[in-house]
Amino acid sequence: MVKLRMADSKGWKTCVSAMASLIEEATFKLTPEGVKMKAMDPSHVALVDFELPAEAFAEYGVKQTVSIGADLAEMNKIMARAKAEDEFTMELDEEKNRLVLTFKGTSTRKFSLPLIDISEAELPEPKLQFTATADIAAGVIQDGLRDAEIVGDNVRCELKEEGFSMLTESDTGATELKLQKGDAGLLKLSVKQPARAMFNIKYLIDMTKAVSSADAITINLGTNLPIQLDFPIAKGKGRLRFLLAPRIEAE
Amino acid sequence: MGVQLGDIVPRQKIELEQLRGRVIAIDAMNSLYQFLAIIRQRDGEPLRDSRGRVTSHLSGLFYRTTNLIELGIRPVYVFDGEPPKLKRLTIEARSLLRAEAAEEWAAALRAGRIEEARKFAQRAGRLTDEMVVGATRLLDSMGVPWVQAPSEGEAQAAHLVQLGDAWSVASQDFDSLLFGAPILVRNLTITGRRKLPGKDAYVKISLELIELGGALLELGITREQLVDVGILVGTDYNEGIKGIGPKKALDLVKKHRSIENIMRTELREKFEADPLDVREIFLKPVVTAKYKIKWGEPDQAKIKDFLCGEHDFSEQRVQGAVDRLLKGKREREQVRLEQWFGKR
Repeated sequence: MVKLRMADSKGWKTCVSAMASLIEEATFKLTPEGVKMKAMDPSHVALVDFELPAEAFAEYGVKQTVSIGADLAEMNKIMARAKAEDEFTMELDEEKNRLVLTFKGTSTRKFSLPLIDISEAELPEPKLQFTATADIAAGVIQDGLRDAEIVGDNVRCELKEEGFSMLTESDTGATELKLQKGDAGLLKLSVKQPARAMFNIKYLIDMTKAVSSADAITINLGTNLPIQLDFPIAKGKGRLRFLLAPRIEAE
Repeated sequence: MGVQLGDIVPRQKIELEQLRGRVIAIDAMNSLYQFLAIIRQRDGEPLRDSRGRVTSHLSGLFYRTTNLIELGIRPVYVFDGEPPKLKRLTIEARSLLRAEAAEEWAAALRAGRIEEARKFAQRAGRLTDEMVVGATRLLDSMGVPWVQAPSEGEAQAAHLVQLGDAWSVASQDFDSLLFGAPILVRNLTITGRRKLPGKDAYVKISLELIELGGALLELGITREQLVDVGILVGTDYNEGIKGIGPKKALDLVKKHRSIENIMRTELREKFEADPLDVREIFLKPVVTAKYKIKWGEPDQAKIKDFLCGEHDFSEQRVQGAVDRLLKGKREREQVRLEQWFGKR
């Protein structure tokens, strides 16, 4: 009997919403240690790497490793019905090959979701040598992206000793967001070597929209490398990480 | 035409989106023939400019290639060179078929049988040298690279993939697999709604991906044996054996292991060309490593001069496509994550 329970549904709700914006189907791997999910979007530009250890759950009943394939869009629709403070349970109904989601608040509501078969080879670990990292308030990034969206499709992200910046230029205009040392939105900065790379705005918006604006996002950058975004989940016990491949201007 | 292996080769449906950022070596002649066959008016008449020159192939090449580029796909067209000697018979037979079809087309038109006319018209489509030159001029002005094969385009396209300069071959024919293409994409330039020949109905054509290694594993044969299967069924270089379809051919090759052994059976009599010569064409194809693949800027003025000025295309529609081409150029900047995965 596989059963997972969380004191509230907020965490799972946020994670599923962020994942569903990039990928349609996902295989969650449930081991006695915790839940893992790693997948790329269909065009192989973005990657989601999700991990939630057993101790992040109020109850974690997984004796043997099982893989659960689910339609993320459907799961997201269900999670959207949950109230953040609802107690949340996921159970595997092996007989019917379904995942049963229960929200307990002022009433008890049950949803079930058919499992799907997804055959995908395990993804290799990308080799990335980032040269700069920063912790930035999610709200700042979300604002910067919305600004950038007005004028273009791509945004150049840059980390230097002085701070973080986002720049977008196009025929219709330009926007720039600057975050300097000492600004409230810049919580941590460490630059071995200045780094900058260009990214598709739409992807970044999808990745960051689910996270609450007060949370910090950890950004890792390297010049013309993918950007790595880490979101704090389960009080630092879990991992919700996105990788996005850069855009590299032709020579 | 190509070898008919559709019944036995396992394939996977994919979405165009999955090809984003990929370099695809497109069998140019195969595509141009497709355009010529598909892009026609109701009575089978191809599109023509005011001087009566056929433009169906240019229309297909321009708009379909633009669609791919807009999605961030990087097409490179590979054109046929000198055909292998053994292909001459096939070529003669095909031009005979086309001539017959042209007569039937004219007859059907005279009799007012429009649907039938269209069917014959599609078979009568002929690609002239002038049309091919026009196609390469158009590609140059679009900034899309093309490669001249020394012999068969499909062999050269497969070579591009083997050398790592392209990710897959795109062709309707399964011959690419016999030429050793590790990955083959079918229906690339014809995805979407397509009219059924001879019927007033449409089907949705979806993109198919065939991975040679996986296909061979599933069939339980080697690439050499797949070539032998092809030879039994018939290729562009030999007739094949009457009454032997792909399934039977596969069984025969599995049972006897090779064409040499099959030639020791009573089937020997039935080969008209030496199967070993045919096999040589596939296993030791005439290809070159001397080519340059570079995507350039679309040249708006040249595109418009050629399509609108010389061939009477609609300015407005061409402008729309040019805008999409320019957008696609930016789309190409997007790299894929695999680049950082180390070896695939």
